[in-house]
Amino acid sequence: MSKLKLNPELVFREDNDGGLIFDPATGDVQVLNETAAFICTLLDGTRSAEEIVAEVLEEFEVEDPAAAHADAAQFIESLLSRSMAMPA
Amino acid sequence: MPTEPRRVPPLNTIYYYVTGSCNLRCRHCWIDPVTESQRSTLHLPWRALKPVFEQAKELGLRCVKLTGGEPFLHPDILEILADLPAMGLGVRMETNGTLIGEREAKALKAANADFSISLDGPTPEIHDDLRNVPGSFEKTLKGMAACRAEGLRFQAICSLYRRNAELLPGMPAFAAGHGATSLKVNVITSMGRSDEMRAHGELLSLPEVLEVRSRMPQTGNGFKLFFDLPPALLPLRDIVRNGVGTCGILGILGVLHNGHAGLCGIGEHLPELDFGDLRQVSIKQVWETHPTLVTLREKLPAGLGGICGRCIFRNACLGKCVANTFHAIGKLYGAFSTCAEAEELGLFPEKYIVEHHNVVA
Repeated sequence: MSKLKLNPELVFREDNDGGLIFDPATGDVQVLNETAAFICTLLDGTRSAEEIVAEVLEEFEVEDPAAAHADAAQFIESLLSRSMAMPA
Repeated sequence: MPTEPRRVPPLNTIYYYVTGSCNLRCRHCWIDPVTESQRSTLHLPWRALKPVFEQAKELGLRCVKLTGGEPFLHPDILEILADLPAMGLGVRMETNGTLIGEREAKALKAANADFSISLDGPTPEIHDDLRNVPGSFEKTLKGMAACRAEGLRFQAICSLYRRNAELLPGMPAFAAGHGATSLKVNVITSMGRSDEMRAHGELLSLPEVLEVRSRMPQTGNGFKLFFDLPPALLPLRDIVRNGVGTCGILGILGVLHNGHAGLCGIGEHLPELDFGDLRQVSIKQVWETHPTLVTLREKLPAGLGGICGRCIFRNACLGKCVANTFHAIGKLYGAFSTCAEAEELGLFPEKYIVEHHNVVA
């Protein structure tokens, strides 16, 4: 399973409350909640999508693990589909 | 390389400065209206301006924000509130609330209006000090009660200055207790009448404002808090919760109480931002061809200067308020004064400074 990384042309900023992904080419900025920002920190080329989702479930206390799993996987998929993330 | 002219965007919203008069004498007002006794000269009959709004629908108009002065001083205000929804337009309003009784609350309800009421503190001493008319606090609370009785949702707006800073953290609960569903905190900056407040040390410095923001409580039960600072100076949790707050300036036009078009109400005071009398020139012509608006479309956001041109939020914030910047430095595309001050003081977050590829000189 391929390891994933953030598109290196994008700028990622984070703090404890969330994060931002900035595209210098368009000037667009996407606001990320705490979980989405955590996922982006893991997109460093050393983990697959499944490994990232597993780490998210470990990091956050969730009431519905199945729903959280689906949400995290969907977010990663949305990054891939918009070329904001890619195989390392 | 010359840039291609931008297409004309839809005119989404008109800020209609219904009247140039007010029943209060707020010491921080940037519009600087005259007192109520002169009000007969400070509005046009609705029938004189209604055709302008009908024409504007062809330009994409969807919403009208009624402001002033105090909108409820206009003798046709109930007719305006009835006509706009009948024309298929959304209604927003900014009011001091002192003139809202059962009839006005019912009119707001029938218009499905999205409106805000000014409330500057939890005591008459503070509210009336800023509003500069004794008894306005009680009248405002009565207005809020009339809205509650009709089951209306509204926002309270609190203008922050030195005297109410200590009590601000208690304002969300106080406003909620009087029926508000959200609180917006406007930081008073030096503009219009508030120049005098600055001279007397009544305005907070930027570090003081940020300190007050840091003391604001988390709100719950669906009550929202909006602190009107540029996004780069807000905690990221505010942005995650409320969004970046994209500026709508490229789809907004001001219609002043005298029938003139302007960038916003500031057109009344700065001739450069008065776009002409809409009874003599069509709103279509103003919107599509006025040189200031054409240039605005070319320059925003890629032509923003100073720290705003290097900010990660440039495209959403659009320089926060170009009219305020024009007032401060005489040009529309410079850095917003609060952000420029933050940079000068070392308070602008480094992590939000980026390099944009798309820049217009």
